[in-house]
Order: sequence, then structure tokens, then C-alpha cells
Amino acid sequence: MTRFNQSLVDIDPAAETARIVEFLRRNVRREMKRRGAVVGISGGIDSAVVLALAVRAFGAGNVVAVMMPDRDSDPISETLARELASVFGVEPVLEDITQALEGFDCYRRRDDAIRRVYPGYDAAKGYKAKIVLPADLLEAGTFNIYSVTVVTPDGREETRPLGAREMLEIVAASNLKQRSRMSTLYFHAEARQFAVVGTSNKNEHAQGFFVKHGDGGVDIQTIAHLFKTQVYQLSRHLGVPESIQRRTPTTDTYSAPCDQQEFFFRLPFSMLDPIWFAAENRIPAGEVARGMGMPEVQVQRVFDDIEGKRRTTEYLRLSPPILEPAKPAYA
Amino acid sequence: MENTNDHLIETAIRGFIATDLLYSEEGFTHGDDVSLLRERIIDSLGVVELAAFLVRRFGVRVEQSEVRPENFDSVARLAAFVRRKQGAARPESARPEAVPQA
Repeated sequence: MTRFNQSLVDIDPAAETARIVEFLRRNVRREMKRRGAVVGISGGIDSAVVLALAVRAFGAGNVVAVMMPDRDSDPISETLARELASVFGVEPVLEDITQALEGFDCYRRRDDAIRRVYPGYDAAKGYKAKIVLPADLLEAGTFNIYSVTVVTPDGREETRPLGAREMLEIVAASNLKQRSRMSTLYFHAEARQFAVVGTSNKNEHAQGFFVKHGDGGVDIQTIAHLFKTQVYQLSRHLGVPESIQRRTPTTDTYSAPCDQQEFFFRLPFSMLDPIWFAAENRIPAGEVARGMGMPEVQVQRVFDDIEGKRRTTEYLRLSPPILEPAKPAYA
Repeated sequence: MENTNDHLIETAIRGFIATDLLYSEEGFTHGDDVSLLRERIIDSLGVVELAAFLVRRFGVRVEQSEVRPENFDSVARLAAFVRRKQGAARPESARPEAVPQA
């Protein structure tokens, strides 16, 4: 019997690439009757891998890569996205969604909620903000309760707890970004008879780190079965630029820089993915602890966090329920 | 501060969870020791709303560092937390342990 170790998560990148390419072709061409793919590219690793896979499946001429920054986006995102598109021979389309978001009142709604917690917050004066989860997942049993971190114009950071109403309003306003991007992608897809190809990985999809009808609003999920560390393995096989492979995964949603670990996952992927693999395969916490070289109580906390997030985000993955027709009288 | 004798605290917490978090018409149908998160009765947002409820209803102060499973993961733990906070907030002479024994 194989003892638990971190390499159990490893995949065969060539075989997995062939499998995904066949999956894309079969579903997009044969089932959906769409000619090609539209991919939103962010300069991050997931959309980079999906773009590379789409080009393999449909050819560069049948793939549209759309960059959709807003005024909070890090400029490096567009630089990296352009580099990616160039490597794979796709002409990138730039769609700045700032004006659309101003039309939705996204920034004012979000900033009003932040000001109720931090009255001095003023984006026009250079204040930046992000929302974060507690960092101490391994060290203590904690709830996934968000706080807001405000970065002052002179670079000081201050974190304050968020009330339920403020948290909901900040998230709801921020989600307008992902939903505006989804609408933009569907414009490009419908104008060409293409399909919108999703870029969520397994960590995001199964743990609920996506926006329903936002980045979750796609025609097909390409890498939602792959752990983040497996996406990195594919990226090396597919020739994704090293600048993108080296970039720390970021939300690129809030005005203050915010990586995915502090925003949601609370652990490095190199630790989270093998423990999640173990949880899925019902490997006991004690064996995982020995394989990972960490205390069993910490492994159990990660097990609990994974399961808790999966359960509490089921709503996001739920399709709209439809009532069965009542039986006709003559049946 | 509300009188918190007997099971008034548990009753109030059960009522809040049933009405404001579960939108339930049947009331809170679980035991007081049942884990609220593990049994999917509430999520983290519900925990935040519960903290605000304790402040509002019982006049206790809740620090963010106290919003942890050992204080918030069941009705019994929540009630014990409120009683501890109320005991700590009461003047020393009013605490039961300060009353001279006959």
C-alpha cells in the first residue's frame, strides 16, 4: 500500500492535456455547436493554462482572449496577459470595465460600506482596502469571518472586524466586477458563435471562491477538476511564461493588493492540496500528519475548514430548482 | 442587562437562530449541544450575526478574538459565554461567589 505523501497529487501533464483538449472539442464543437472559445485572461496562472488548452483544442484563430481590468486592477495584470497572448499567438482584446462599474455604482456602494467600519476611508485621497480572513488556520480553530484592512496613503495597514451587513454589501458590490466581466465575455462569444470557457480551478470551484453568474457563469469548466498545484504542473508542460508561473495568486479585485491565501484559502496551496486530496480519499488525519510532518490537530483543522467551506457554499453551485409539472388529469 | 436566570439565555438564542438565521417556522429543532457549523445550521456569516445579537440583547461586549468555536459553536456554548461575560461585568459584591455563606 502506498503511504501518504505530497506527490500523490501529481498528474501526468501530457496525458491530462490530451484529456482536456478532447473534452473541450467534444463539448464545444459537437455538443454546443460552437466554433471556438472565449477566455478572460487576467495575467494569472489559471486563465493562462486555459488559454493554452483552448489554443490546442481549437487553434489560435478560433480563440479570443479578453483582458478586462478596472481601475482597481494591478497594471502588471495587463502586462502579463499581453505577454501570454503573444506566446500563444492570440490577439488580445482590451475591455476596461471601469465605466460599466461606475454605471452600476459599484465603487460608491462598496466604499460606503467600508466607511461605516472605517470612517476615514477615502479612495480619492489614496486610501486602499481589501477584505481578509484570519491567517491562523493551523494554529487555532477559528471561523471564516472577514475583516477589512485599510491601507492609508502613507502605507500603514489597519484591520477592523466587519459586521454582517457591511461584509455582505462589500462582497455584493465587488461581485459586480465578475458579473460585468461575464457579460463582456458573452458579448464576444455570441458575436462569433464561440463558447465561454471557464478558468476556475478545483480549489475555487469546490470551495466556493467564485461569483455565481460571474466568473462561475461559463459554458464549460476546463480545469475545475484540478488542484491549484496541478494547474502549475500543466502550466510548465504547456509553456506558460515563467513570469506568470512565478506570480503570487491574487484576487486583483480590491484596491489594496490581496493574495488568495489571505483572502480565502488561509494556507499555501502546496500544503492545502495534499491535505484536501487526503480528505477526499478518506486518508486518516494521523497518516496525513506523518506524511506532511505536521501535528494531527492541524491536519484535522484543515479537513474541517475544507468541508465547512464546501458545505456553506453549496448555494453557489446549485442550479435553479425547477418544479416538476403537476400530473395532467388524463394521465 | 437582561435577567439571565434559568434557561432564558438559551431560549433567546434558539429563538434568534430560528427566526433570523434559519427563517424557520418550526423553531429551533436541535439540541443545545449540537454543533451549529458542523451540522450546517449556520455559516460564518451567521456567527457574525449571532455576535451582534449577543451584544444587542444581553448588553455584553464581544471581542473579535472571542468569536471562536469554543464560545460560539452551540447554543450551550453561547449561553455559557454570555453568563461568563455577565458575571465578569457584574460588580464583585453582586457575584454569587462573593455572597457570604451561612
